[in-house]
Amino acid sequence: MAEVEQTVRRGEAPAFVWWAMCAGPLAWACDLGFGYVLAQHACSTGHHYVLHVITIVCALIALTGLAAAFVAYRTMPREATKDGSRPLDRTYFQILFGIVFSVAFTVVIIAGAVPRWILSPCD
Amino acid sequence: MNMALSEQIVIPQGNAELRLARTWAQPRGFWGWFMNVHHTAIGVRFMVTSFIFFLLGGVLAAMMRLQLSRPENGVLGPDLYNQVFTVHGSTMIFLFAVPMMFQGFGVYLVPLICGTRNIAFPRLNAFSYYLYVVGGLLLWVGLLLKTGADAGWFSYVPLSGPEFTPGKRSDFWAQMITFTEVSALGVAICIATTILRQRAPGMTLNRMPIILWEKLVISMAVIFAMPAVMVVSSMLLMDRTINTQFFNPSVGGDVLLYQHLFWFFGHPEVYIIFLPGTAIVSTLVPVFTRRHIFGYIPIVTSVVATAFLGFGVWVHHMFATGLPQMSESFFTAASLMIVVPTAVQFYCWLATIWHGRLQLKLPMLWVFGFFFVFLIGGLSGVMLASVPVDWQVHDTFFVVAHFHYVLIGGALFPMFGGLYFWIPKITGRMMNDFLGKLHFWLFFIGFNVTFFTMHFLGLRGMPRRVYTYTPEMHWGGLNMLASGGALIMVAGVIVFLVNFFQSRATGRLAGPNPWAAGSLEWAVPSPPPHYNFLELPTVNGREAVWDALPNQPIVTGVRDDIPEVLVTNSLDSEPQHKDELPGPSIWPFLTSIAVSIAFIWSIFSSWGIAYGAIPVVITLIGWLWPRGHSPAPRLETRMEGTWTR
Repeated sequence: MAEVEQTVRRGEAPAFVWWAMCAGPLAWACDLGFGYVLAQHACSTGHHYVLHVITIVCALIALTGLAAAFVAYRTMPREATKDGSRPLDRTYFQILFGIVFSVAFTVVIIAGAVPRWILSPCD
Repeated sequence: MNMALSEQIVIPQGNAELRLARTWAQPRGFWGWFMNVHHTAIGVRFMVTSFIFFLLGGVLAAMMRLQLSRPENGVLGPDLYNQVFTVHGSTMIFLFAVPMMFQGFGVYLVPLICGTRNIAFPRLNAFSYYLYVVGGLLLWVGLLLKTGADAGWFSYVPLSGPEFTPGKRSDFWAQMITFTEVSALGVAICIATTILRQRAPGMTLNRMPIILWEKLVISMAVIFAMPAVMVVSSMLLMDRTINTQFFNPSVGGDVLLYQHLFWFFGHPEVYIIFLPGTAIVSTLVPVFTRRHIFGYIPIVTSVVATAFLGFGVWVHHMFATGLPQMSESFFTAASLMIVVPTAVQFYCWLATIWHGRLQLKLPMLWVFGFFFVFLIGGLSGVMLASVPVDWQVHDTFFVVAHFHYVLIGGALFPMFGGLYFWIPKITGRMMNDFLGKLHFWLFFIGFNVTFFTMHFLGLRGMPRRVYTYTPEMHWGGLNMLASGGALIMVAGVIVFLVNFFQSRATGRLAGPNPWAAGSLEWAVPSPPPHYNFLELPTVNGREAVWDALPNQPIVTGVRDDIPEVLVTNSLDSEPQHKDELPGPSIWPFLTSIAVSIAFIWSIFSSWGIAYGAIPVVITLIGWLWPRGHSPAPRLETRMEGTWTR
């Protein structure tokens, strides 16, 4: 933890802060892309579980972003502010950004999957 | 960091202002106009040119409304009507909305708000402008020569293919796309680089004004979205000119490929037009409520999320093409979810107004107009995101009403608000308040009369793009009402033009900061000098002017005898080095002419690109030929870089 704090103070956002910012959109893009490509296969073979597996994996990937952001958040020194000019403050901003993004895109992934769970759109 | 800079302050020796004015001066005269590469000049040109195209597109809209005002009207024949609605849509999207909202405002404002003296890659920026003008002229010359594009603003195949649109009509359209999108790409690179590398020290990522965040996000969206439409328009051109078969299903081509590629660009395009509007709103609301924006982080994340989601909803434009229902379901959810970030922004603006001291000045009137109009457009958008509703009203006037509410609400209302806000900065003179309010009310009433009526026309089954209808359809009354509304809108725009020219000649002097606003463009005179800032600023908060310390440090050590700018790092805007920007040059203009010849030649001959490449290469060599330092005279008392790192 202390090492991470030193990294942040030097102005270098740890890799998991960047992951927190990117995981949500990446996971959503994977869900949409793979799901769209495999939709015809799932409908023609009746293997709907493929789409559900993709959704679950992608939602978990997005949640790893939230976990990374949460870990980073706990390492933040108390003096960090949202609008300060120090690298520390900017990293704090990135972490908050990562939290919002991870949660938002997890919700988008789940919302996209709900119709596939409830309805039978292949019919 | 600020302390470190303040310790290195060097008091300018003598007339630093004069030296800066000489160094950053742009050539005058006829050829000087073509050599100018300063962002304020190019930004204003983008705004003026795109506004002229807006007026031309408006004339076409008025012609359409005249034709539809009563059943079986004979003002426009079917062929001319097809050309008119195609050129109207193409003009408003490609020649007005993006060039005005993204390029015009962006090129003019971004360097000023960043606190730097010119945009990055100024010659690329100037080149982009000339290319845009040629693209616009290409489309309009085609119309005036009675060979105007006539397959709709998205020119779907097979209608726009060689079989159903012989001649050169769709070729003009396809090359216009190439011109305007290359232009947008060039500007996107300039703007993104400026924001990432030329921000004033202290303007860290978490302090960037929201308008900069939005310009950065839009630039990235342009860079990812525009290639798709350039590829598809080039494929269409090749199908038409050199007999490729990309979209011919009988030999293995795919018609839907066109729609996929087009809408992969087309839907992000909606946000490329809309997000600059929200950027203007996010700028105006704090100024006229006298407080910092409420919910900075939610707004920033909403903007970025909107851009991401915008790339994942393109198929909702293709719900009626017979795609598998499973495939459509992927895009229904995303299309509905994209409402959320926009709603978050709405709540943040309302909370800012709620907690602030509202001053209902002219620009703010347009913001409230935007709230009302865009909200209706957003709600009808939620309806259209549902597949059954979309099927029911597909290709009817309901869709026309929806996208005009979204685009005029999301772009035109904030644009007018932004023009009333920044024209005093650009011209140095205030606009007339009474005429401004008259303009608002005429436009607002006219707009709603015209387009709200179209919802009902759509629900009564009137399809879009029909040049007339029979009296038995009973659409005449509503169409007459819509046409009357259009007349009121035209009156509003005329009032704006009168206000602009009158204010420019006799308006009250604006001074540097007539609105007591907080961002850096208001820290310089109106209009800004060519060097923008006499002393390069540092920043102490999200609203640089409001949050400045009494002894806010300045950046020194940047030379004033060559056009030099400070380069800072992307995340924390810490000074890294200094860079000399290229000065005025005729080569961007000449290169744009050479590129235009190659592009236009390619419409008529497949050898056009090959032979046309020769002058392009020659002009590029001229452009890139190393010439040493700026032509500005070196003065004996120049400042050397005391600030080093």
